[in-house]
Amino acid sequence: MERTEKIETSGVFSIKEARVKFTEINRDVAKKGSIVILTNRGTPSTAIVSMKLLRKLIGDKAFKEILFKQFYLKQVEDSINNFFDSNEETISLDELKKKLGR
Amino acid sequence: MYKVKLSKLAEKSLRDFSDKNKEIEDLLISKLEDLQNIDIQSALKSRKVGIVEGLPQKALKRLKERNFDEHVYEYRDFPKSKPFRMVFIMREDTIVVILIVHHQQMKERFNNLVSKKLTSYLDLMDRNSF
Repeated sequence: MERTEKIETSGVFSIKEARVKFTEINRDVAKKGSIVILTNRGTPSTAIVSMKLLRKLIGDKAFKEILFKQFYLKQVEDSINNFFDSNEETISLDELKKKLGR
Repeated sequence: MYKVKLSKLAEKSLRDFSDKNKEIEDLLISKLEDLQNIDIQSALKSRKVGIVEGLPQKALKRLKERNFDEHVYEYRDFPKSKPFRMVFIMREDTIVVILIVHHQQMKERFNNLVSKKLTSYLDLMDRNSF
């Protein structure tokens, strides 16, 4: 039997909160899907949720915003790593302007 | 006055944007020039600049190890019709722009990615009794 309680997705869960919340929801659910829960420290953690809930979350605007924020943060993190991994290689603004013929 | 530099990745992004549109090149260059004279505290107050919140500690630790300011900043002072974001880090008198993105284009890319991946994922889940 699928549970239909309302899920608050506008906040970001801590790992502990997420585990408690999703364990409660998913007890006795037959059809399950995997979903990434975004924690308040930006660390992803996985949990098993019902297909019904998964569909509900995907359609949820606030949830999508949280996912988008994580998507953006990942890009920022990658650019930090890229910068340090390339030995802090940079171009000055003046050099760049010259290159662009300005 | 700050020395403004761009990482290789940020330079590539700027060139990609400017190849398509010279007006955008002018805009991005003028905003980089603006960064040279920025007063970070008042820019934070006026929301011209924001702090990127929620980054993993690992990334912030890496900044600290290289003597950069512990925050990652985002320059947001762009017209609504051209919602760019310039992400930068700071060390003493130097600002390094590490990422330039067009917020709207990034969101569209994200939406496409999510709908494609999730649609195929859900189809697969429906076909298989999990």
